[in-house]
Amino acid sequence: MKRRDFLRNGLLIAGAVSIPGLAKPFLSKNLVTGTSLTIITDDVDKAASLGQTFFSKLNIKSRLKYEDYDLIGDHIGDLVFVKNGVLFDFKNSDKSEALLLKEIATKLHLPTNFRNPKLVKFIAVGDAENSDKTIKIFSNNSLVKEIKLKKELVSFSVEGVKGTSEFQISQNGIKAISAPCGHKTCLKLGTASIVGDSLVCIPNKLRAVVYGNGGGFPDAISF
Amino acid sequence: MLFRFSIVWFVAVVSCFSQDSSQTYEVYVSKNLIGTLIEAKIISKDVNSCKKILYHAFKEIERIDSLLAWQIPTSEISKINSYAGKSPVKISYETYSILERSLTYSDSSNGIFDVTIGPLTQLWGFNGDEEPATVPDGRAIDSCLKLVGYKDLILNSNDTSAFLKRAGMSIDLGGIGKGYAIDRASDVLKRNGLTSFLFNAGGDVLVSGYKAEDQNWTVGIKDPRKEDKLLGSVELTDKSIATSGDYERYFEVNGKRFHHIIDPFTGYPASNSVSVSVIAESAERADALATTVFITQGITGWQGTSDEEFLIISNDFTKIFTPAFKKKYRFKSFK
Repeated sequence: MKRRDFLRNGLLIAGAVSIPGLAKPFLSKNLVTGTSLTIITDDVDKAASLGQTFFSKLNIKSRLKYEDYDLIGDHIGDLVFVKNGVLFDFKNSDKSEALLLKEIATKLHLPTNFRNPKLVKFIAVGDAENSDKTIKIFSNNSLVKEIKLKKELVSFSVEGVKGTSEFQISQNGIKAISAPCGHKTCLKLGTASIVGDSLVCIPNKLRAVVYGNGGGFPDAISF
Repeated sequence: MLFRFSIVWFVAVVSCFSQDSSQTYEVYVSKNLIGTLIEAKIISKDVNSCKKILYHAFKEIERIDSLLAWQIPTSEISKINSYAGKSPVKISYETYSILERSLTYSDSSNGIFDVTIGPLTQLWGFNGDEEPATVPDGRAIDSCLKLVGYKDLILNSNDTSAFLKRAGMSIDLGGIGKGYAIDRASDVLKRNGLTSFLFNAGGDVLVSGYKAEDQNWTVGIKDPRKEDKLLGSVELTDKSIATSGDYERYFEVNGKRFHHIIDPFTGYPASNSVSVSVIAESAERADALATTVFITQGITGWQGTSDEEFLIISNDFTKIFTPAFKKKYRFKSFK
């Protein structure tokens, strides 16, 4: 993952954008919501432990989610902290949070180039109405793409173990439009748009999952 | 080896309780396993120890699949199937027990739930590698129907063996396998001190404890015809919910839908319901009951407990609730 993409994803997690040129602002109400810490590292346990220590000192009132994912290929290890919807420039700050983040970066040897690292995320749970939906695409249990729902139709392809699957994303959600396997069950699943919903292609070992960090979404979907 | 494993286990458990932070985390892990997407959400004060325990829970799911999946040639179920009509096969007590319970479900449902439905499910091909697109020949269905019958699955408790009496018979635990797997994964977490968590195995959902203080887990129920909608949601703690529907694995011929839930008496997809959601004490029971009620569109004959509740969407899209489904589990309609 390129540094630019990483920063953009970090911002997506919080539903916020604060640096011109890195990503386009979306719903302005989202600019005041969202607190998250995202780290790309090769030491997931240490990152999780350091992240916990960091949040214990922040005294965050809301619930916190933790997730980590495998990434494939070469990525720049770094960390992004977004507080209340604003990217926190810890490298040029002397606030107490900045010192803690610098300590995390030092202990994890960031920034560094990594091959097949982990993406570690701590996300404060907001309220549903102010939370954006993002789509995470996994190939063989590794995160290969993370994008937010878009107003315009966007098609893209993802490589799975059996070949290339094509997806289409819009503001309504994501749907599979082609699959290399014989069964093609994912094509019949229509559009996944509800947080927690997913399109799963078992033979091609691909899945697209709708994420949201609002507190009002169901915790799971029975189908 | 056992000693080393015990130490790792002990350290994980001790560290789970040794955190002094008051902050709790919802740890989310998802994996493609056993032919479906398994998601886990665990409430814990210590992310790393929680993940270590969860690793063993996922391993437990894989272990169960290796015992029970007919698609895996080395599984015990595959061995029973390959010796159908020849000889009994000695199996583990665990596999024996799940088969024994399967027969109980069969008796309770007057044969509607039948794990010897393998010949029919394989004929229809919904679990195969290729997309089924045609209705099987009627004679082939009749031939397979003759090979279905749970009373010809003979279990011997003396040597924990199983025997399918006629060649060509086969067991398919698709009706309870996922549910059983997350029941056992839940046991792994509980044995190690984790009490608040959720598992979702391809729509079979098991919840334990609470999401937050005095806050139940919320589970949405998918609308069977509007893929971007939920019918509603229920609030659960220490319960499981499973849904059987005709809308995920199916094909259409001349506008008629043929799906993967096969009636063991007719050999054709059951047509009374489009979706059935069941809340039960265990994911295995919810799984078995959802399949049964889907086929019968009713609970006739089922010797259930008072805690088992249903939401049936009939083939004319009428919603049928058992009395407590709405009130006890705070069903919230999204329409």
